[in-house]
Amino acid sequence: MPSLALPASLDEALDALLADADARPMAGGVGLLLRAAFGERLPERVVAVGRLPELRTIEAAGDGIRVGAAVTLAELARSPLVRERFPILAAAAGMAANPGVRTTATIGGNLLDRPGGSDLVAAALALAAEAIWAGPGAGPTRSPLRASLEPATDDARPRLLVAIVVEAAPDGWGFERLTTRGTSDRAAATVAVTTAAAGGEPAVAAWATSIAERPIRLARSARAVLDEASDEALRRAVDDDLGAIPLADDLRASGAYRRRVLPVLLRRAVAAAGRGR
Amino acid sequence: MTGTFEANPLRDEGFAGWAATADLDAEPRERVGGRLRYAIDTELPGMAFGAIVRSPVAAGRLAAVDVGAAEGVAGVVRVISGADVAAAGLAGARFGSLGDQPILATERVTHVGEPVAIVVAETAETARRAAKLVRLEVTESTPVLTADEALAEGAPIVREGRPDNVLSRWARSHGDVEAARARSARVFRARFSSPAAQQASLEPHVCLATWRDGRLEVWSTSQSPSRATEDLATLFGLEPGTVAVRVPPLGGGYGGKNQTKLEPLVAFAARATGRPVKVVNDRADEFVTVTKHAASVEIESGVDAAGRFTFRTATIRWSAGAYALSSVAVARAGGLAVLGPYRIPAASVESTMAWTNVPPAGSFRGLGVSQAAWAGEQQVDEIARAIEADPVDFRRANLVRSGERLWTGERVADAHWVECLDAAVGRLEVARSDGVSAAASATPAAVVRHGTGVAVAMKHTITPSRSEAEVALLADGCVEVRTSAVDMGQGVEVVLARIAADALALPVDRIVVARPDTARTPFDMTTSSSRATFAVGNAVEAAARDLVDRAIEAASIAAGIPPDRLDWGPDGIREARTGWQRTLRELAAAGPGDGLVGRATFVNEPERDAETGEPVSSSHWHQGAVAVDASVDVETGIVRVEALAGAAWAGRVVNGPGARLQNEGNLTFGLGPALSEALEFPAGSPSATDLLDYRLTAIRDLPWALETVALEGSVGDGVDGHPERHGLGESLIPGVAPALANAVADATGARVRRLPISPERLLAVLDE
Repeated sequence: MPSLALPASLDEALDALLADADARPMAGGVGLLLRAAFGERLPERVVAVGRLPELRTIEAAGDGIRVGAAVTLAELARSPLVRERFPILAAAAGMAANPGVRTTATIGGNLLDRPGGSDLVAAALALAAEAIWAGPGAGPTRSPLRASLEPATDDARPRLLVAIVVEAAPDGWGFERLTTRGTSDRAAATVAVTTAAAGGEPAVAAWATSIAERPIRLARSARAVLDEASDEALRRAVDDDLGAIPLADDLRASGAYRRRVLPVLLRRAVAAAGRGR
Repeated sequence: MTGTFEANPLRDEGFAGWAATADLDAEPRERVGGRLRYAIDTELPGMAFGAIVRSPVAAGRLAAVDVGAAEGVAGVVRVISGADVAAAGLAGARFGSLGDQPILATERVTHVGEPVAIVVAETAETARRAAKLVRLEVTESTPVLTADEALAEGAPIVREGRPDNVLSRWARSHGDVEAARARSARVFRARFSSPAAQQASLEPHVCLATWRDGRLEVWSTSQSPSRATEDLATLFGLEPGTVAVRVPPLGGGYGGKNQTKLEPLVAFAARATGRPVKVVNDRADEFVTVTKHAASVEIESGVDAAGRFTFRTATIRWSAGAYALSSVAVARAGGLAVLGPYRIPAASVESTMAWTNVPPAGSFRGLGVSQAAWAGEQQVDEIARAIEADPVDFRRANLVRSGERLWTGERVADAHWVECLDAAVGRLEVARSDGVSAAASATPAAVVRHGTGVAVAMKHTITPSRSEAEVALLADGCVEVRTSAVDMGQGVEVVLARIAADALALPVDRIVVARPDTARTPFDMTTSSSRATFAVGNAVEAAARDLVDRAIEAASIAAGIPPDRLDWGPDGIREARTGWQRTLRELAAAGPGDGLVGRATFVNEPERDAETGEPVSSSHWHQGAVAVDASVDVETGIVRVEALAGAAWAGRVVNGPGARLQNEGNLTFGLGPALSEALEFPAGSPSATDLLDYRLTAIRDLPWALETVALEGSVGDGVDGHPERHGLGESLIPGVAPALANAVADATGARVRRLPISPERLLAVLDE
């Protein structure tokens, strides 16, 4: 069993992470519990960051929003601010897992622990969210969330996700989460879409999760949907987006099924965005 | 019989009964409140913990079991392998329904997960850790993983001495099938199949065993404590009466705990270590301990121009896994049920059970009938549609009525399938009217199709079978009911208390129901086959009457009053003429040394056909019908169960709320294998080993509206003026999957012939 550090401040948390090469941050503890349940290796030390005030708030930032990394999925889903300005985030957080997990799990853990299987990741990427990181010896840094989700390299310096920031609300959004049994299940495929009409030419951003190890951007296929492509053309565009990425093949669905339903979910999500939800 | 029941055969039991039965709700309340003590909570001083080392391969020669590293772990008491079993003179000892299971595998392993050793340690954690250090040397051989593989020419042999891999074959025919085929207007053929599944009770298999002065005491999650007692006595060469099996309430069983499984190994480990030993299966262990039989069914049917069956035939192949468990019974149960409760002038069924190198398949709520009805009731639907008949009307026209003959040629005295079907369809109307449709769905309406399906089910009960009961007058004037029936959440304790209370004209709060302890509760064959309410209930009722007779006799002798002038009542024994009275408490005090105890044995001997002299296959039939509304998203293949209804024949309901919960449990349990549950063994290992992956249905898979009814007979029915009490544990389950498939076919025209009706499989059929 790991030992537990209970830092009182962000600086103490960073110190604790720096002090032990095998220390890892923990907020809701869902990922840690799952690892324990499946007999996987646990870190020697966990640093509890779930109560640090900097990580606990949801606040407006101009036209955008800043969500602390230790905000729970349940808090995100029921926040009036989020529901009003970024309903796609509320939808994604509110559909993930089950009520018990949502009450405990934090957005930081959800985004970083297994990004390829996270509903929230799809929504945040479709919003072009940015991540705010705290690191030792310097002020917070800001980088696209997309880059933050790449697997960390071994020599990466310890850092802590403090919040995510989204600059502005999209004009439209769609979020399709497909489960192959009742909705209290991991998704077999999730597609998040945002649209913007500003500047004449409509723009679309679309991401899929729960279909592969990593989140997958559906750039060409989303464009094809906007362009009212034929089913066949859309299928080809999806194939282009997926490239050689091996699709998940598990008891929820085969890779072939996931490939088969992606165009369906994408069309539905884009249609929902067009209806100006 | 002094009890009362309402004569309205369509009485809908509501929840109003809770208040009246508040005194009987202790067990459910404890269960829901998390306070009920299960086998897992049982502890003994000096107890050690066992972890089972299992075969990683499906078939092979077990060359060596190296326990050295595991024995070196601090806290390990002993590591026991097949060599220790042999050294104890038990190398040839076998248990199980066909006497085929060793305590531990030696020489050969025949399925993934087969126990080859057990580590006994001071803590469960240490045992589990050390178990990983036991090294097995196995020379793998080619396994047979399906019934088709096993029954193929030249297949590898699973069980020595059975070169054809046939575990059992059940066949029955009646009438001239060839002649009937020749005069059929239409003939239909189809093949259906269903995969294995896991019972997935929340509580896993648990066993704690200890030896005291040569006596073996076991706490187990067995559904069949009397059988486990006999198995253990035989295996260890013990006198009857020196083995006690105690069963706390179970956290679900669903048939998975029907057969002796952990008990022999844990008892051996306890004897070998001189310590009480406890083994708790973890979830992965459950998936290799017992499963459901995978099956395939080839079915052929003919109808005449008027839409009446001319003949039906079926060939069923089952995968038993590597040990027999309940396989012989499953082959027979499925064989009897596959053609359905219809008038079929000519019929033949062959049901073949094959040994395979997969974890053993056992009883699974519905016992083989689900796999059979999946085929039979879908084909009925296909026929009806093909001849442009309404599926309900087609069934109604062909279903047997009381006094008519089943396909086997035997008369069925008490047939209610038409009533069940009509009631299920009626209930579906009710469900629709109070249902909320899936309006929350974002699925475009244009791609959603709606359909309705029905199915009927017939399931036998074990015939003959034996249940014994004792009903004892306690010193405080209460009455104790002693049976070896197991409460696993189905509410049998409440049922037996009510039956005793009715028979004794006592309020139910004066009845105590003892939990199974084979040292003191009498024999009961098994709590399965939906038989407890019927068979154990009858034994309890007769034992209660016996208690009344004995009490009156005792009072008569004590008071010198002729017994025919004495009456039993809630206040005791009374002579009406003089007002002489003895309370139950006084009677108990004055009774013989062992107290006043009524005893009875109930055996459901099969009746013999008056014309043929043949015994019937089942002393009664569990009868049910299911009706369902479903919607299908034709772009994703996702099926949504919108409204689900069922009607089961109960004969006489003992406990209304309990009956309703059983019926609802049937429907929700049946949805699992229908929609998503499946266990495959691609290379011999189970496709799921935890409940995150295993596709149990979740609360959100349930329909918005669920309606059930338990149908009852009228006063004057039955042999003594009372309709029989029938169990409701399984009557609706076999109908759920075919009814849903029929609804999907109604909605889309696509027929799914292999379970489950997963989005992927349905989409593949839609794409064809």
